[in-house]
Amino acid sequence: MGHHIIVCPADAALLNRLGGRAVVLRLTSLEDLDRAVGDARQAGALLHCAAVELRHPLGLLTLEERWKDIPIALAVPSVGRLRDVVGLMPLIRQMNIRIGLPADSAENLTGLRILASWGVACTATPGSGPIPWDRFSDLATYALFGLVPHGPVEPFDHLAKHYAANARTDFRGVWFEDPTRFVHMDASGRFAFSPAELAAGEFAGLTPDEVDRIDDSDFYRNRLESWRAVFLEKDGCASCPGWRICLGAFQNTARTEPRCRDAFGGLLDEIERHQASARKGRRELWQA
Amino acid sequence: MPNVLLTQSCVRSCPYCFAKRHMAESSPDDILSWENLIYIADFLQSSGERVFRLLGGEPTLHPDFNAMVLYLLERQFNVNVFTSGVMSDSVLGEMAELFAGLPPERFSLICNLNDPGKTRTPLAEQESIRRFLRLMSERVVPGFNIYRVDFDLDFLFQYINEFGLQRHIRVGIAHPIVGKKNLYIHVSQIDAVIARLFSYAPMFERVRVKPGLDCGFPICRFSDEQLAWLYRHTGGKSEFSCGPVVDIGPDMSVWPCFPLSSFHKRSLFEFNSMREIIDYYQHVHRSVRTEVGGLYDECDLCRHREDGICLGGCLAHSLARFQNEAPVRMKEIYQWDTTSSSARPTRPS
Amino acid sequence: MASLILKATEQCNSNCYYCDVVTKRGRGGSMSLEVLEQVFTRTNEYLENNPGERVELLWHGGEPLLLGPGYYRRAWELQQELCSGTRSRIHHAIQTNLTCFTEAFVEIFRLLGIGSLGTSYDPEPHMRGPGPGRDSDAYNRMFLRAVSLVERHGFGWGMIYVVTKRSLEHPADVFYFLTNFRLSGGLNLNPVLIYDEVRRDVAVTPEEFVEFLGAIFPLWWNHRARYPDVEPFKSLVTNIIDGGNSLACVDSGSCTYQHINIAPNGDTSQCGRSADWGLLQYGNIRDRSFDDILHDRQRDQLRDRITVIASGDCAGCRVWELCHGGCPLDAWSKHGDFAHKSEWCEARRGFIERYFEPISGRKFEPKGAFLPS
Repeated sequence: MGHHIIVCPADAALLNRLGGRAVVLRLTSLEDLDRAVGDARQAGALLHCAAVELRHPLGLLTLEERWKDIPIALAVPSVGRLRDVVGLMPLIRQMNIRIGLPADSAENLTGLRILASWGVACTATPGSGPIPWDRFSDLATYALFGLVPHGPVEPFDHLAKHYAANARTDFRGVWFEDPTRFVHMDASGRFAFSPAELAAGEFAGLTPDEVDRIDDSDFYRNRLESWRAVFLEKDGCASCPGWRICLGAFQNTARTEPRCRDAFGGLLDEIERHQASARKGRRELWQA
Repeated sequence: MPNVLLTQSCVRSCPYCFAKRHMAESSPDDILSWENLIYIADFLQSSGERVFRLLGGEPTLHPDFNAMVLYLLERQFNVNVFTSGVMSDSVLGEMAELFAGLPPERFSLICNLNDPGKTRTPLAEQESIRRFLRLMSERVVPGFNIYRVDFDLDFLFQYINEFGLQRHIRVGIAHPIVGKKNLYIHVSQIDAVIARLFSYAPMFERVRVKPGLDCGFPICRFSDEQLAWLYRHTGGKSEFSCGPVVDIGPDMSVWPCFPLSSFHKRSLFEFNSMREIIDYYQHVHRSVRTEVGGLYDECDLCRHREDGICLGGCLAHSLARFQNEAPVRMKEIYQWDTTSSSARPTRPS
Repeated sequence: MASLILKATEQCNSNCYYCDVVTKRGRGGSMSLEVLEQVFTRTNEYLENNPGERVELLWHGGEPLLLGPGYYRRAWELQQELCSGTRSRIHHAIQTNLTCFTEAFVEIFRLLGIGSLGTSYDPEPHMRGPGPGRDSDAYNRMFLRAVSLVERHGFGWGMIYVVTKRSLEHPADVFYFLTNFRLSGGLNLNPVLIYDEVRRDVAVTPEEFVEFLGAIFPLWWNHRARYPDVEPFKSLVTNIIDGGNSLACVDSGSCTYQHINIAPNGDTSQCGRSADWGLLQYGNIRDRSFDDILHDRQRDQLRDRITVIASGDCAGCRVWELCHGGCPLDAWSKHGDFAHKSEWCEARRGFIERYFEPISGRKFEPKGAFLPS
């Protein structure tokens, strides 16, 4: 069985073809959660998480205690009223949940910090608008150098853990967009390496079985090498000091809003500082 | 236990106001941001503080006041708010609704009340205060700032009974803001203030209200009988110390207390813990007290001062003595921020 | 170790603006198998006569990959056959533009023991590329494809970047581009060497080269763990801060008795430029052994040069031990004889004194070898 996790709709017929595979169920309503998880279990699929994307603020949601043990990636457009979110906190604290907010608003970046300071795992997700990069950088500083323990904030936590000097670090797995780990599948079993590629019909394969063979395909290999294309384009990304931890994730906005360069250049510095600080004073115990 | 200023705007114009100089210079936009609130919360938590004191100006003027209180409560801080009691109905209504079920120690308010008979207070303000006291009731400790010798406390006992407030009055005396003109109790008036205060001792006993003295009262001005009375009625909780309390401004600047808000103003980001801040200002205060022991000449040789029981009254009085001198004393005495808007503190890299 | 620069071919598939090989238009041809056989015969002879010695065979050109994988397989076979007892002391290296690299080269390079490929690259449009118009887009696509292949098969690679006038406009962008491209660095920054007026428009002066390096150095210094292998910075750290000794041939002053450039027809000289300029010609390998060639009396000029310039052009220079007057061929191009320092010495000292020392906070302390008067 292939190692890729399949991000797919919670379609029972599809799930029946995905037995034994790890899946991320794409949902647009919490009301479908029980049924979707049940269908996945019935099909013998291994639930990596339920990715629930909603149109309502976090504070307006109704969460159920029976969902405590379901790994959930919850994407909401905003936090909503804090008084409403506080009411949800006792349950949120018990849940295996990451809350994603689009990073394209200052309010959401603040919301991420509030949630993280309450111990909630959070993810800054790409939005449709320009990102306030100064605030983004501030959030990164908080995520890496907060004075007291707090909930992890992605993608900073991933970068802090996985960054290695002299290597590229692709954080887009926190958005399920790492082609070495995730494929995105539609209801008929066709799949691609990102939702955008799936929507555009840039399929890497047409059936679930092909996922197992994807590692051997030229398409996959080319996809893994696609990062090199930035060096052909001579745009700002190729000469960005932060490229090795961004890999052009914000390439689409970089042309009109190039301050991502400062943000990621600074973030790279901070990650190295964070790692150096973590290494300092650490003593390796000898092994018997 | 530091004070955190949510805003430097206020709705009142109290004649003694310590914050007068600040608020006159601050802009309505000078409010504490969420990011800075979270930083302060982290800072205090890492320093072992579990009580968050919110001040202003008038803290309820902050557009996110209730949300910020909610946030801090969720962080497991106990929240203590210094307020005038003058606030909009919507803020008050939401406050009452949100915090109704909380034990008073989790969310409490100190309401600085002026005697309506002696301090000109518009009717609307009085009504707002009354609404506040009625709704917040047992969460409120009334506070009173003495800025004139002929003060009256009767209205406070009346409020306590009428509104079911905490049976405790926090009494403070208005101190000078060094370098500026404000209404305050002069050193020569302290005896009269203490005498008048203790003229209310029977009233305190009758209505079973405890007094609490704010900082800056010199112990030597109390008779043994008065000190015994205080001991008996406060459980020995009276203190005669003088700061640093540590105030944190919306722009993340810190200073030892409001009368000294221009004295050795620093940035919170320069420090790693509350202990560091307190040590810093204690060092500065010690330097000043090396030059002059306290309010009175006798302070220099006072054994209560030596023992640390009393620090010689409010430092602001001591510093005021140097204002008209040539600057020949220790350099720590002269570090005043004389500009109206000091450089905004920045987080160190 | 003797370094044999094997100009296996003068042919090239690119038309790089500043390359001297281009001006020769492939007139030198390619090395025949007979000459190649002679190379290995002489190599074995040298190694048998010098039991403690090793030889580096640097495949060069033109573009050496144009010879095709079959040529290198034949080279390997010749080595197996003619150097059976000495081949363990032969180290192969290659300097290539990589654009012709294919899977077919993988196995033979492994057989030859080539673990890393030297290359050069310039992202500036129309500085490199096939054809009169220098189709840099085509060149870059080929290069990227080749690098991908190189990395996929586990080869290392290092890159020379030639600093031209166009580089001066955006040194930071150049630095970040190159270090994003090759993440650990593996980068050598060299000034372009132009000897004619036609291409003077891309030439840089020593002062301009200093400023270019100076603009980049703080970026590198503050993050040198991120970009460990960037020359000339890394070797200067080794020499100035770590107390080590790591100098390229042009700075070591010790290329005199170690280098042999072998042209396609077997003619030898000191290096590629000396061959092009008719200087220091040591005869053909058909007629002379490597021992003879390495001890040719003409080389004594280079040896003597060190002494002459140490008390002449370089007298009083505090960075003598890091430079030794630079490359003698650079001196020749400027002065017409070897007994002078290179004009690029000023760049080396200028960079060290105006940028390296102040930014690193470390001053170079000469050890006292070859101290000037």
